[in-house]
Amino acid sequence: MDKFLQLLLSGVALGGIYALVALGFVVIYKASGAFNFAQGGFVTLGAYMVYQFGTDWGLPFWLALVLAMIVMAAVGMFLERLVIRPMVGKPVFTVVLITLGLLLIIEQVVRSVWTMPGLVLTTPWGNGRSRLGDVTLRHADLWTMVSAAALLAAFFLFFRYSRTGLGMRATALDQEAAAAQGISVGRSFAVSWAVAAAAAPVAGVMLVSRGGGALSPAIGFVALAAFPAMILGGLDSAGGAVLGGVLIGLAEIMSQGYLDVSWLGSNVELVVPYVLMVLVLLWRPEGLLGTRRVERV
Amino acid sequence: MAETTAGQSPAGRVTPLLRVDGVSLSFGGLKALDDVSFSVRPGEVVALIGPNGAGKTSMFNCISGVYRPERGALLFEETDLVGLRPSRIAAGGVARTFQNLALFENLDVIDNLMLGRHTLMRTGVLAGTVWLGRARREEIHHRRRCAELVDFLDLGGYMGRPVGLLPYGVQKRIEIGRALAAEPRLLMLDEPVAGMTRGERSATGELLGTIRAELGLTMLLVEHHMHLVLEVADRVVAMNFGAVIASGAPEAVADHPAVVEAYLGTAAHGTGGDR
Amino acid sequence: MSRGFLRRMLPSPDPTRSAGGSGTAVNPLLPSAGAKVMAALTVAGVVICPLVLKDPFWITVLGNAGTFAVAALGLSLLTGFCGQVSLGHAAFLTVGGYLVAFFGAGWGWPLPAWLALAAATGAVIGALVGPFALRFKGNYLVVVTLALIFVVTHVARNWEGFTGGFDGISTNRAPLAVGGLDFGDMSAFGQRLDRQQGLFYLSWILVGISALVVRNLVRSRPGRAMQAIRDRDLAAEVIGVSNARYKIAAFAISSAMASAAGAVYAVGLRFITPNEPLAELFLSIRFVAIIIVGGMGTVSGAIVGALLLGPLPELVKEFVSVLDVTVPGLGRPLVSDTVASEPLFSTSAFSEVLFGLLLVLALLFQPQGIAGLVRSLRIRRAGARQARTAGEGH
Repeated sequence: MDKFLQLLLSGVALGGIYALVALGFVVIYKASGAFNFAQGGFVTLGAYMVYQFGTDWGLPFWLALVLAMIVMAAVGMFLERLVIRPMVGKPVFTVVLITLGLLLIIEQVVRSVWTMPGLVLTTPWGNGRSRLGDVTLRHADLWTMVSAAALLAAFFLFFRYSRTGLGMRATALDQEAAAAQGISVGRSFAVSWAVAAAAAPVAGVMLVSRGGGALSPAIGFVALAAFPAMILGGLDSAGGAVLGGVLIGLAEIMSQGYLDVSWLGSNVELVVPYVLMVLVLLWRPEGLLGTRRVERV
Repeated sequence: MAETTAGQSPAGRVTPLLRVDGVSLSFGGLKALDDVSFSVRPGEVVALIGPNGAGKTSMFNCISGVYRPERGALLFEETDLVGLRPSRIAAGGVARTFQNLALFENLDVIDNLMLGRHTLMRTGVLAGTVWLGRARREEIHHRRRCAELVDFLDLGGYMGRPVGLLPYGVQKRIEIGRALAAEPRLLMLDEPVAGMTRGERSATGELLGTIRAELGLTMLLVEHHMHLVLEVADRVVAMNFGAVIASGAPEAVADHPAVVEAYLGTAAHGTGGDR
Repeated sequence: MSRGFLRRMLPSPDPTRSAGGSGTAVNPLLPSAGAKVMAALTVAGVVICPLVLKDPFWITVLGNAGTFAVAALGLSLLTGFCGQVSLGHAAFLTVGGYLVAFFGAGWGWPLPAWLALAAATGAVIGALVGPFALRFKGNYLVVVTLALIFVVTHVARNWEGFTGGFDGISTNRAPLAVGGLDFGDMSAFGQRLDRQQGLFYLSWILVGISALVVRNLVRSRPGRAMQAIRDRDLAAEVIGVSNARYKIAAFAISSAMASAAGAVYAVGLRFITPNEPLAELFLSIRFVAIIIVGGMGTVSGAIVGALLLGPLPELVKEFVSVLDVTVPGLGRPLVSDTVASEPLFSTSAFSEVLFGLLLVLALLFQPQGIAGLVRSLRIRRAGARQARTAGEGH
């Protein structure tokens, strides 16, 4: 039972990280209907920026995080303006392919800027842990869950109440109709990319601190596991992203903990998110919380 | 479920080609079709009319298998179409056009027409990779038929270009051609003259007249322009809010109080304007 | 207005008219004179290449470009002609690689056997993925096909009896003979050719077969159906094109080509080890870049793209000295393989960046790729010629 509780906690925390990454996907998907494969690159870049501003330059951690969020928002808007805006009105998959190209470039740029291996990101909570009965709670996990909850709340309020958020929802449904209603498609795109990129350093920091603080250019790889989270939950639903994230996180940790079937091989947890996603999609193509679409001729 | 056979079928015991029997369809609580029944006899031209949102296109989509009605039957000859995949229904002899053009815009006229003949052809994937022999012969034979159709529809000046780049009126014509190419037993046209100029409208009306006169093709069309409806239709079924409100001879239906009311109520499409 | 069509459709047979001859009798294999010349030049170039090029580097690079072209033709059929975007393409190459290692090098199966097995296995796995393409479109399909990469890399690392696990497995002893012709030790025009030269011929023969297969498909009923699905899948279904059948077929054929290409590629590498999933993803993206830059929806585009982009990593490595220039302001070299000089990019990193940049730039400025560029130039030239003759007429 203790083992189960421990794994449950760990799984929810990992799920929180997936949710943080997936929220970034959802924002851009909501505005443009495209998957942003570069989000994983943003996560890596964001984590390195926090390292640069905080650990390297010595700014206080929270200031460094906010600064990284601001800079990443600018990077997101810049990239949107540079390579995404010209594709408005083109088939969605061309936008997806462009973000794939960006992913290739961003990862190598991170490698070329931060060449030193073995960099470590310091956080106020470090490797701290507390004991709750028989269960150990890592502070990093706690912060992950708190920030995932906070971001989810912020997204919810943004899409429900802000003019820009509502405009973005309209843009995703029908670019032409939204434009006819006086909603600026360009503005929706720019804001969505800024928001998604700004959320990336948070996800990056949590991801790195979960692994003890060691930075690596490949951490954005986790984004590939966040895709199933987003799809599982339902593409257009921020709540779905969190639910999907937690489910995938739990599945991954539980399979690590219990699925000790030797014929399945080591590192089964890498495959689990995708298998789970495919199974859920076969049962509910629109995801758990997503909206069903009616196809039109 | 088949208790609502329409009482207004005056002609005797001709087996209908298509019998729509008590079809209902809804989208999340919104009734798109409510117990719709009508039939189309062989050789007949039936027009579905009604204001926007009356459910005409939903009816088309049910017949061609895009939507699956919740209740009712769609008998094409003896077969119930409900639950069949659209491609199976097409192979059974039902061809249609779409309200908003649905041509394959990167392909040229001939390829679009050849796709109309897809269900008449046999070449499979493996035979296609080899191409020689039967695949080649079949290709030549059907291209020849399409060339005739090009002449018939006067499309000779638009060959070899992606149809997406051609003028709207021409695309509408190609779409009718694609449906004709299938040599269907039931031709369904969804607003064949929508968005056309007056000249194009009358040309299309003439074309439909020719198809009807020379082929005796059974047609079901959705149309707003009463002028065209009165010109080509034998019988009219008027719908509003997903239900049939009147049916019968074109002039009678056009003057039917419920129909007049339905059109005046929405005001957007005057029935009288084109008469 | 011709009544030929109507008469044919009427019950009474038409005695008189024949085709309304608009030059539409057959869709030729090579549609234009230019295409015929290009095809002839390509064949000639392929035959001559290993005889004149003595440098093993170039023979290897061009041979690999051939295997890339085979896989790219497969992806072009799937994405360019059938409209299904897949990021799982690299997984099929991996499958082919392990099959040749196990059955070819390990059990000594002859070339036709291991090649056929690779293609057949690719086709079967592809056909299993196909049904997913029915339920998931666009974005969804991209991610679902990603699942392939994870599953295949997982199997490659863990099924040690078959793949050698992390240590990998040799492909070196795979037989390369078909009947009396041994690609591993052949002679042509009085010259003895080594293994790399033989592999060059083998891969380019496969390019020829694949190009023929794709071109034949797209000019006949099944390929037309795939293109209809690409343009409007639902309308295609409604006029009678079964999305299920042709999406599955496109996946099967495309995967068969990728898997066969992967087998030959692995023989050229002599050894195969499991990739990181991320590296596998990048390889898939590379194929997407190849068909976009070359020109989607054309046979020649896939080959040209593979020739230009396929060898990019090898070329960057070979010509690193050219790129080893100090970047002004940073004081670091742009590309270098010596870590001590702190280059901005290693050679492999630089080629990834190039792939990314080429993909983005092509999509932004020339989405029809090189083939589209050539086509529009030809149309413009024809237009100019027409204008000229019209001018002379007056």
